[in-house]
Amino acid sequence: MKIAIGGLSKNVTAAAVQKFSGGKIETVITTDIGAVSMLKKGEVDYYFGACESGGGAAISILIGMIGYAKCCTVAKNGQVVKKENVEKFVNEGKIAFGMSVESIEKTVPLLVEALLEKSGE
Amino acid sequence: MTGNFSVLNFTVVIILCAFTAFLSHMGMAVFHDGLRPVIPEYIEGRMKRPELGSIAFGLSVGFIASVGIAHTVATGLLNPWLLFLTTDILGIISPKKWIAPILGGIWGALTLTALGFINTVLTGLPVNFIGAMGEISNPVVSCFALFPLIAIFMQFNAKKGIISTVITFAVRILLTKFVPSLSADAMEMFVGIVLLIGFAVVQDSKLKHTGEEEENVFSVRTARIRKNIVFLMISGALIAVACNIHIFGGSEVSIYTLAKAYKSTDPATSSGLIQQAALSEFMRGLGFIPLIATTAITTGVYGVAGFTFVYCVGYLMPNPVFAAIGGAAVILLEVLLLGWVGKFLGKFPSIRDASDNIRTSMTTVMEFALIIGSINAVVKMGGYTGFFIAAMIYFINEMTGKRIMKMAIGPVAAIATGVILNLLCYVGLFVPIK
Repeated sequence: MKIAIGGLSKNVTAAAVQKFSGGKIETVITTDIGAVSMLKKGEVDYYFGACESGGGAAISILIGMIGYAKCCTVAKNGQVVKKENVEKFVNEGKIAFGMSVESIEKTVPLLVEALLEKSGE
Repeated sequence: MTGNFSVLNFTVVIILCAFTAFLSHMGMAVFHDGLRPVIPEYIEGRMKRPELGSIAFGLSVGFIASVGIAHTVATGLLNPWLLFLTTDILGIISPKKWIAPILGGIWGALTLTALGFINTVLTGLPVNFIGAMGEISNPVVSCFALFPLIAIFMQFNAKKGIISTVITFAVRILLTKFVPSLSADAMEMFVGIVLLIGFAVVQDSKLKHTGEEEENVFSVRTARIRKNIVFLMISGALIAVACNIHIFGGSEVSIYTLAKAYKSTDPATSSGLIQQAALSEFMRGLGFIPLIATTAITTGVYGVAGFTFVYCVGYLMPNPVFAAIGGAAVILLEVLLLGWVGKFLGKFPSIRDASDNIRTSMTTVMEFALIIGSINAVVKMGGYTGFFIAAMIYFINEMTGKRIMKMAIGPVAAIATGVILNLLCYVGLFVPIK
């Protein structure tokens, strides 16, 4: 599985993915626009992005270019992320996940777990 | 700060909020960058107004409640999160065109009334709240000047970061020694930015990126924005006037410096601080261009304050009439150049990458500055009793899921500490420090 990382604090997001997937997931650090073409070409499976609100800079370009139906904000600013919401988004077939910068450390493990479970690894 | 009640101030804020709510209702412009791409879902009929409204509310409520309120209570100046994120929501939930400006206007009147009330209450308290809040602004300018260095560390490597730090520090030392008339902070920022751009250009010329297909990503959807240009220019003019009459600060990088400038009795100090605020705001604006331009071009929805350069115009113009003309002109220019900016960004994806790093680094330095400033403020208010309260508010937020944004926690903690110290003082358990 390969995940494109964009938005703010990319290094933190990528490091968190590496850490919590135990190396099972590859990460590519890019920009939101770069990620759109990678997703369209099938070079990556998913996109993670962080910004202040979780729904702004993180995924706004993704929403505009791959469609609102495939994007979601997992952790909004000021919210504590919930496991069942993450699982719901993953099972709905969302492929681009936005989160607030503050929540990266808490959100990434839940997302990684849900995505690995879905792919049966 | 006490002159908030003039008829002019009320009129400007009410018209401004009414107008931005109208822009949001019509889908012409919204302030929240994340809301922009969702607007076409409504315009093209895939989403209903209530659903869009709930998204707008969800995206913004955390910002309004934390940075929106904190920056304004701490400075006495209105800010865009408080005003425009709310008018985004109000405009969207309004079922009819004419309801939006009414709701917006009511919000404008409410915020200014509440601010006046809060100021009156706070200035009469035994523990000097407002005076101590001035401390928050002190580290802001010097700290913001460090953002290019942090961006270099983030985008390149520690070696380049350390070299840049040494060069910038040398410039600071030499300037303070030999040319004390120049602002060391401003020159520091300039040197840092030159280094950042220099490294980026060198890196870009080494990497041959295949950027052909990225160009048509920005199939120019600027026609819709151009069609609305008159409305957008009016919005720019109103915002510039609000900045000019000293009731509004554009962002965290300028608002504390402006509050200090407007309180200063010495005209030279005051105008120096205003220039400093305008420069910081300008730099922040540059960092935000790629984000605002790309979201605007891909959606056809513009930003309420455009690329935010209208703020700088508002601070610097000699009077409200010039500010209005300047604000409108800046928006006109931005919109005319939008297509070109889009093409440029499509060709150089590295610029967008740099912009992400610049915004991350600006946030990092500002969070640091606001926490340091807030700690200085609480120590001034109540010595290390004040420190105890503020530090624990900070740590409690850290330990319970960071519900309050890092950018807001400092000022929020300082305000809460001020309230608690005053309560203690009323029941006789705390003696104000002179």
